[in-house]
This record gives sequence, C-alpha cells and structure tokens, in this order.
Amino acid sequence: MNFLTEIERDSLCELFNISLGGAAKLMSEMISDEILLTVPSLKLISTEEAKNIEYLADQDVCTIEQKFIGGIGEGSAFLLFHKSASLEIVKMMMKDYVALNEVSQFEKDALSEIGNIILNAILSNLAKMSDYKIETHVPEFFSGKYEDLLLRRNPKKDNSILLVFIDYKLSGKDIKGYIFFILNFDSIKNLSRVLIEKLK
Amino acid sequence: MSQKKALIVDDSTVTRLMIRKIILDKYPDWEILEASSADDAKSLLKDHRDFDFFSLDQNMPGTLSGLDLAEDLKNNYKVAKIVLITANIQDAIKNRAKTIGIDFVEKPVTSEKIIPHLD
Repeated sequence: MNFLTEIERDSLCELFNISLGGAAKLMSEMISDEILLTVPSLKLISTEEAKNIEYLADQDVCTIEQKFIGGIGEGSAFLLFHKSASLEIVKMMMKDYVALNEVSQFEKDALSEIGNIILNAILSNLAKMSDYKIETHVPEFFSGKYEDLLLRRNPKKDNSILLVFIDYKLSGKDIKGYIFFILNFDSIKNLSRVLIEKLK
Repeated sequence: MSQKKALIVDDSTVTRLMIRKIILDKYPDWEILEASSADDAKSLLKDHRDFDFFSLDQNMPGTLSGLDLAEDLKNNYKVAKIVLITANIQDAIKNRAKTIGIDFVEKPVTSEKIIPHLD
C-alpha cells in the first residue's frame, strides 16, 4: 500500500493550506462574500473509499475539472459544488452584470470560469512553491451524480486517488463546496520531497 | 474621449460580458468586438485592422494562446494597448507578458483592475 510519512503529509498539507488561502480570497472577490475554509484534510484513498465520501455519495453535483501536466506530474484538480447550490453561487457572481432572471443561462459558463480562476490560482501557487512549471488545460464542466462524474473518469488501477480534500463554506449561507486533486502516487511523493528539500 | 475600438478575446462568455460592461460603463462610445479563442481573433483581425485596445485570455481552446497572439499583435498594432487578463498567474506567464511588453491582470475581473489599463 502506498503511504506518506508524517513529514511528507505535513509538507503537502501546508502547501495546500497556503494555496487555498489565496484561492479563497479570489472566490470571495468574485461573489462578494466571505469564504470559510476547513483545514485541508490530506488522504490517500482508493476509488472505493472515494465513492463513499460523506455528503457527496449519491448526490447531484457540478464539477469543473482542470487537467494539468508538468514537473509535478500529470493530474486533475476538481472544484465541486452541490447542484442545488450552483445557481446561487452564479447569482452572487453575476448580480452586477446581468438581470437576475437571465442568470441561469450563464450557469455553466460562470461556474467554469470560477473553476478556472480558483484551480489555476492553486496550481500557480503549487508551481511557485515547488519550482515546477505547470501547464493547465482549458477547464471542463460536468453535471450529474458525484460517482459518475468523478470516479468513472479516473479508472486507473493503481487507485492512488488522492488527495487533498478541502471543503469551503459561504459565510451565513448553506452552500458548501469541495476541492479535490488527483495525482498518481509517485507525483504526490515527489512533490512532498521537493518541498521538504526546500525547507532544509 | 474619442471613440475607440476594442477586441475582447476570452473563451468565457461571462468574462467577455463583464469586461464589455466595465469598458462601456466607463466609455459608452467604444466599439467592442469579441472572439472566443485566439484563433478566432486572428481570423477576425483580417477584416478589422484598426483596434486601440486588446484584452486577451491566456488559456483558450485552439492552437494559439493569448501570449502567442500578443506577440503577433505587438508587431502589427504598434500603438494599441494590450492586456493579458488571465487566471494563469504563474510567474512564467507574468514574465513572458513582461518580455513581450504587455500589461498583466489577474482574474477575477473587476472594474478596479481593468479601468487603469484602458488609457
């Protein structure tokens, strides 16, 4: 079984903690509201375990996937909302630009752009802290059951799904979202080693 | 303010809409054209030669990036203002924008970020 040592886990957690802080700032700018973040929970999980994540299993969700490749390896980052919250988020983002009754026609595009901005900010910070260059692809939007969207798209046999699972909450609102990263285990391990080297 | 002509290049409809509104709130008489990729922008430029302002995203579908297009524009539009407005805020991207000699704005777009680059 793949595993991370305590120092490797800690270095990655801190990396994502810092990266997410910057991303939360951007998201709060976009929707003019405060974003509350949980401390990143870093887990290496199998596909089977990922299927049973609390609050997501059997839920309708929207995800924006940002594929990336570079020194860090090849992987995917996901921003994920419950479907029920997505229109409210778009309303908050678009309220100064279009009439409220027109917001729904921009839902897919607006969520894709939120994902693009948030996930690129995190990946840019990751690149900066690790001294790796990362190339990002154009984000892709999906809507449907969590299991279908996330898990069937990554059927790799080594089961090194991981990883960082952060949930965020809008202040005073019942809106939650999640950020996932999927990288193969060697890339995860390598990233943590680079960070540890830099700290020495 | 005399009428100017701007081209907004971004694959996000929402971001094009936002940039368009920010510009028109400040300068209602500007003429604004849009393209959803750098490749489409290049085709559009064949019929429109007289732009004063370009807003370019970096990562878009197609063969060209915003910075690829910026290099081309720099050679053909000597006095136009070119701004890269992107979520890709890596130092490598910022440095290349600087080398080409264009402005750099981090998404998300706001009027405070865009307006200083319009003149």
